[in-house]
Amino acid sequence: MNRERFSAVAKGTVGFAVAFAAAEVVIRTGAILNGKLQPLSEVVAEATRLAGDSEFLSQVGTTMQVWAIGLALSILVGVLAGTALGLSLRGYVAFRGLIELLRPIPSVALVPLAILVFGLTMKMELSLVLYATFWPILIATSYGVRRVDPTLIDSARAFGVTRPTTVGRVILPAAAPMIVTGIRVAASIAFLITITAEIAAGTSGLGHVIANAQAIGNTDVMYAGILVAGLIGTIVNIGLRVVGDRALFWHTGRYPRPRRRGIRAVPKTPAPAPAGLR
Amino acid sequence: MRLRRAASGDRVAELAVVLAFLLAWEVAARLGNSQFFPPPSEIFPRFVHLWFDGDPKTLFLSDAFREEVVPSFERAAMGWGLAIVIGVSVGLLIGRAPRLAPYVEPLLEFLRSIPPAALLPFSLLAFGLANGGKVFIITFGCVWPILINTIDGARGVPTGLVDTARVFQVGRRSRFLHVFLPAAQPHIFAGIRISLPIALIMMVLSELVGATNGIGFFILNAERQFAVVDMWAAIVLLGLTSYLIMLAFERIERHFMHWQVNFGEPR
Repeated sequence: MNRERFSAVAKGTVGFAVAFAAAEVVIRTGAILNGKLQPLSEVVAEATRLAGDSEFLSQVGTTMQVWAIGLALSILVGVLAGTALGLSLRGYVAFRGLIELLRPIPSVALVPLAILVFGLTMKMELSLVLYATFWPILIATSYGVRRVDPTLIDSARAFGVTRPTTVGRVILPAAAPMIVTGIRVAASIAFLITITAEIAAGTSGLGHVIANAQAIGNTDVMYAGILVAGLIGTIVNIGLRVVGDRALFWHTGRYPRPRRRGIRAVPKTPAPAPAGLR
Repeated sequence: MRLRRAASGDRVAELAVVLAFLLAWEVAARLGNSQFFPPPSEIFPRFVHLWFDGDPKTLFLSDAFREEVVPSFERAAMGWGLAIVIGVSVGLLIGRAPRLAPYVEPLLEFLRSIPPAALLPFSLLAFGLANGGKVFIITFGCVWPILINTIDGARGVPTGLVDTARVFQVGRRSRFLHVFLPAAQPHIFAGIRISLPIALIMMVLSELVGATNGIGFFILNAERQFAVVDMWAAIVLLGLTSYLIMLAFERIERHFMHWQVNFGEPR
């Protein structure tokens, strides 16, 4: 690990330590929500204990299963549909209205509907994950495909490349950064929705563990579960960012990835065409 | 594929697709006879009856609207407002001290990754059924994009800009209000814009567990009583109001940002 990276990790740890210490003081002296908060040290201890509990781990595994399957299916359908929309201008323009109409409906509002249709099962959670993750992937893919540099497409045509091959070997690779961004966003949403569905109506999974712990008064487990959920969420967010960057290392030119430390709430879009070309 | 100017046929095509969708739904619902997907022809009258049944004096809004929808949006507004206040103030503080960044960012990265839904049981514990719990969830969900984008914006202000103001002997308060803040404005507004749909989502989320009123509660309650058409009428209302709120916000944002050089250009 080079010095820069080490210093960043060290500073981050210091930040965590300071916040941890401050929280301990505040909670133990009862300054906020006296008596209702549990000291972080106890939460961490409980979380460590749970990490060795096979029952708990299997519940977490169930959650990640739903997450992974839902995400994978969504990527399949979303990239296909997004590419179709991106390639056909008429198609995109026609479906734009429908998309704008359906998109604002939050998947949270559809939880009761999912419960009606699928009952309290894994299918219920899966259906919600699919619905929620479909839109970001669809929109990102269609956006990426539409914004592919026309020069690339024209060059392919000049070389006599057939349309299907152009799509597969020119357009999609060119749109890859945008698609990956959409997948990253979708992965994050997928985790949130899975936990939401489990808390609202689940019978298994990490969310259910947290909700159940609260219901039976087991606040230790509840807090520890929340901590674990946050950790997994962090791994999903950062992990996919790193994996995405690595996977796209071959992308040239319009996907500059300067080594920037820092968090991004707004996904970076590929740089716009240089002024001369517009 | 080349981008082209909007053609006159576009709007027609958009409308046609939406109508075709509604038609397909109607046909499928009648043929399939699923009890969970009523046809639009049933949903629409129920929608009007539930929400717009009232006096002309109150804009035709019914009592149900006032009792269920208004409290929801009140809480959402409170949570969102609180998130803006906290997010922008803390974000500016952190952003102006660039040396603070590597200490604070991993912590923020972790905190914003906590699924807000996971905090629902906690809010039940800490706040019971009171409004505070719901506002807490809404605020928690909204504050992160605002905070992070404000930090980005504050850090992105070119130091030359502020220094030039100093050279011209502009006072500290004026430097902050009239030079620094406007320069950071695009990012701050981006964060606020991102947090708006999140506020609406959190609003519904907070009512899925431990609520006694609100549009999310209404949807859940309707589901429990198998009042499927009611449930759909509420879902449609939610989608519609979300859409209108986003539209309204875009108007407001444009008012504040129209002087920005890069605003409104196609990305």
